[in-house]
Amino acid sequence: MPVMGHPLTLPSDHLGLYVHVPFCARKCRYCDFPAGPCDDPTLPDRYLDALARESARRRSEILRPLHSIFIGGGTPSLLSPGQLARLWDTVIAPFPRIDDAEATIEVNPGTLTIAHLEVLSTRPITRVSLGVQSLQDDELTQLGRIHSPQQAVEAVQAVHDAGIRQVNLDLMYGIPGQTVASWANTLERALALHPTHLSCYALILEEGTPLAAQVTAGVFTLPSEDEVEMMGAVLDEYLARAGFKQYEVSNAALPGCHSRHNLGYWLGRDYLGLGAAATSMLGALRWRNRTEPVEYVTRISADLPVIAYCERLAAAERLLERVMLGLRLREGFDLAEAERECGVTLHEVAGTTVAALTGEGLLMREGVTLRLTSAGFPLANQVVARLMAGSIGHEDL
Amino acid sequence: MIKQSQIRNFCIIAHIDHGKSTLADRLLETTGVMNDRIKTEQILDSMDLERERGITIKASAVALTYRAKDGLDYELNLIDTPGHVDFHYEVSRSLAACEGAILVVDAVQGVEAQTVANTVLANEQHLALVPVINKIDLPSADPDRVRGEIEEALAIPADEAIAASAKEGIGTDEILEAIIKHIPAPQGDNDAPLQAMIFDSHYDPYRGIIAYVRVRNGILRPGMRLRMMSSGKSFDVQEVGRFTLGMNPTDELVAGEVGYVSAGMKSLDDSRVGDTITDAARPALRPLPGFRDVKPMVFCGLYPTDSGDYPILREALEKLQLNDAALTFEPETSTALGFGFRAGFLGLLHMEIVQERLEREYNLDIVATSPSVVYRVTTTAGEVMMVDNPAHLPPPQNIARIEEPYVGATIIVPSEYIGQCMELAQERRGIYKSMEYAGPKRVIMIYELPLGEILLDFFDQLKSRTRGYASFDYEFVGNREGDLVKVNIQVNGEVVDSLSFITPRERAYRRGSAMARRLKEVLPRQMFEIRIQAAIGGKIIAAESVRPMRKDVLAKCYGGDITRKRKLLEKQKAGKKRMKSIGSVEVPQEAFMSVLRLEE
Repeated sequence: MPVMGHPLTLPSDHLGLYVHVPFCARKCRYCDFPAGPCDDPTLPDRYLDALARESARRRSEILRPLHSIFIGGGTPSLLSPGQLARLWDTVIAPFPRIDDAEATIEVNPGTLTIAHLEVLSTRPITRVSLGVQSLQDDELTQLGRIHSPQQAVEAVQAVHDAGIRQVNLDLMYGIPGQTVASWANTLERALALHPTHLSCYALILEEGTPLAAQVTAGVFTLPSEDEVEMMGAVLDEYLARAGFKQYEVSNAALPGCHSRHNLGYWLGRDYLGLGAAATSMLGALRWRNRTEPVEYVTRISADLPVIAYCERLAAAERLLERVMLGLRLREGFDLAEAERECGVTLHEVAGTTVAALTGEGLLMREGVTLRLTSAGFPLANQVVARLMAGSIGHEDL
Repeated sequence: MIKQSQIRNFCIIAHIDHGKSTLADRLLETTGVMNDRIKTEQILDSMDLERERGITIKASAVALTYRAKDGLDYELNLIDTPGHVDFHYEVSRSLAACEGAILVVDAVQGVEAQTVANTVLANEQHLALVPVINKIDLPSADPDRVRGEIEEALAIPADEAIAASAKEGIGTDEILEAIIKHIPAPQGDNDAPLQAMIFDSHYDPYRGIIAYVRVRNGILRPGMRLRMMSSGKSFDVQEVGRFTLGMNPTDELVAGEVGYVSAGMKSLDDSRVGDTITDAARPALRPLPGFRDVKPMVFCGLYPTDSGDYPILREALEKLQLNDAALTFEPETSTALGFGFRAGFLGLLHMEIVQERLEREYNLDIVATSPSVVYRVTTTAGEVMMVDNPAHLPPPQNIARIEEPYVGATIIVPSEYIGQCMELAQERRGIYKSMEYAGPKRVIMIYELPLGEILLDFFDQLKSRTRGYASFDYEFVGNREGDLVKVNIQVNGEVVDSLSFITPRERAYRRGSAMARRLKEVLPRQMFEIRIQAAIGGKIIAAESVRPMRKDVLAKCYGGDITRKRKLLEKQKAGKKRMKSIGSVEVPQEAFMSVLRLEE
């Protein structure tokens, strides 16, 4: 594989669909996502009804076929197999989609059953993403996960057995109690399960989460910065050995097995989000639904709008966002295309800063492609913050 | 016209917390000045801050009317004195307005450093002293021991010392009678040319400066044209009056009286403490002795944490200055801290009080650079300059000599702590002068110390090493040459102006490396290595480095996160605009501020 490959691409009319399932058996200690346990046993069914209604509402507005589908959460596998079938059949299936559309579902090894997999294998699901996080007992406990390493191993095996070819495992490093050795062990065993894709996240302590509070209070200590850096190096080593290519900050895949749905986010493609807290982006327009599932359900049933937040990005703002996202990709992205779509050039927006960053060896431009150098890649935030700081305010453009 | 023989002008001198204010209250109460409405407050201390710290910042005065046992009515003018070493000169002027003083000594604590210092000042003014042993109601009171200390340490006969408890009202009548009996009446000449000494003043927003005066000779009346003898400035007297709880206008102030003058004076500069007021039409031949220009001894930079507060800070300092002639300030700019002021103070406590008032009364969040004394620098070209900001010190090769201010320090401690005190004085480059016993178990130690050494937590150290038993007082004695160097702190080769400091050469390494270490802890990582160095001239004496940032990237960014993450980076961008640049190193202002705060 060449050191610098070609950027990953998607057709310009790519359209993704995201469906949010906001229920979990228990909220993980590190999680600040809009999801949590559900007290009301009738809520999931009412939520599915609401999703179907929102789906119908949006279908009339969207006139292109879907290229990718992502059922995420929360824990979609917390739905019963019957509910899962209904979700697909009433919310997703009515949308037109291209022949080889990618369809991913997130599952928790602690809630996935054979019955779920039977539903999935009778629907055009092409990809399963398992929240494994770690294969060490104590680490899973500290994170507040509901499953054991053994359950994770069995779940991956079952997904393979169900004939679903694309398998992603979510893993975390830099978590409390983790060592370089335990991380290497997790990676070793995870790769032995033959995934096609790995998402490996360095832990972010999100403000307001129990884990952040525990770390602040000194209940848990995080691995040192040096250790985390070492874990990153170990990861690179394992990925390379297993033939994986890191194509995004936290994502690696076997050749051709990258997530097209997620690539859509990073390449600034359109996506439609259904469900509580789901976000949509069409052109320069972005909106987010209300977060509370009950509120979402009530408003949909009453035919009221569910949008909580909406923004229309100005040209410069939109281009800088495209740059922020595109630079997450190891091989960069087609800047010329982004400039065309946003109607402004990066040179106009932040020309001097681009020149400075290029001069410092952090950023490079080859033809239409803009990407970070290997020195710049781990410092993406710095680069993007500087581009934003050096930009002419959006109000000026 | 009141007879001079029925006037007594006096003050109360005491070490801090020995009960001066309580005694003043009791005197006011007994003579009927204070009624129940204001009884709860110690009325001589008008500022909150003073009450809280148990000290009196500004002198004030009050007139009492007392019918003595001889059947006559007396006018007693009680002049309050500031209770802290920083205000030596003000204290001396208040004393100069009196014929006598009540010397209050705590029956438990005994003679302490300010007792000694104030007694010395009172003796210089030839005041009659009325010793009072206060707090005799306390179980651990030991009046006999304290009597012994007064005789031994202060050389004042103490057999007639009045045993009192201001809190319980014990001994108050005796004290009042002793004032009449032992403190002489003033002896001025009403027919001589006017000589009135200013011992304090305050700013009134409607009338300008009100000067507090003691008339030595002559008569002061409204309508006169007066002249300030130090500046030669003239003003028309609008009002004169006495301090009968507040200010009561009268027709005149005669020789021997204490009162106030309002004459349309605009600033404290027009009414300087210690100056002599005379009649412009019939001036006195010479001013009263003892006038001195008050010069600030301690300087620091004052910067608003939020640069938008700069105008508010300026206004606040201007307002404080209206009532505080010793406070000076001028604009100063620092690469690290932005726009601020270089402010001068009488001493460390004065500085702390001003900082606290700025924060409390004006709601300002300010950062102060390390305090500095004024160095007298002689350059190789023979020029003499006074340097109050280390950043302005010429390069070492251009300096022939540096002199620093020294103070004479009086330390009084129980004898078991002599060792600890000597050790501390030694560490702070103290020069031993003398030691004598004040009673069987307490000693008075006299040292000469560089003022700069006292600025850095000397008093705290003294207290902690003597379990709080030591008392301390000091007075400026002069400049002395020292082996002093300036240490610059550099960040990637650029000097950070506000972090420079002047220090004895033998201590340069320790302080320099401590500062470099602290800076290392607060500097955020950059994309390149940051070198932090402490240097004397071109010579590096300590170095630290901040490793470059290796990773700064958002782990997760999917559809739902994008807006939030973009805003996060935009915030980081806003942060970048607030950064101060030291060469190519971007440093948040807060980092410098935290280093400066830590140094205190």
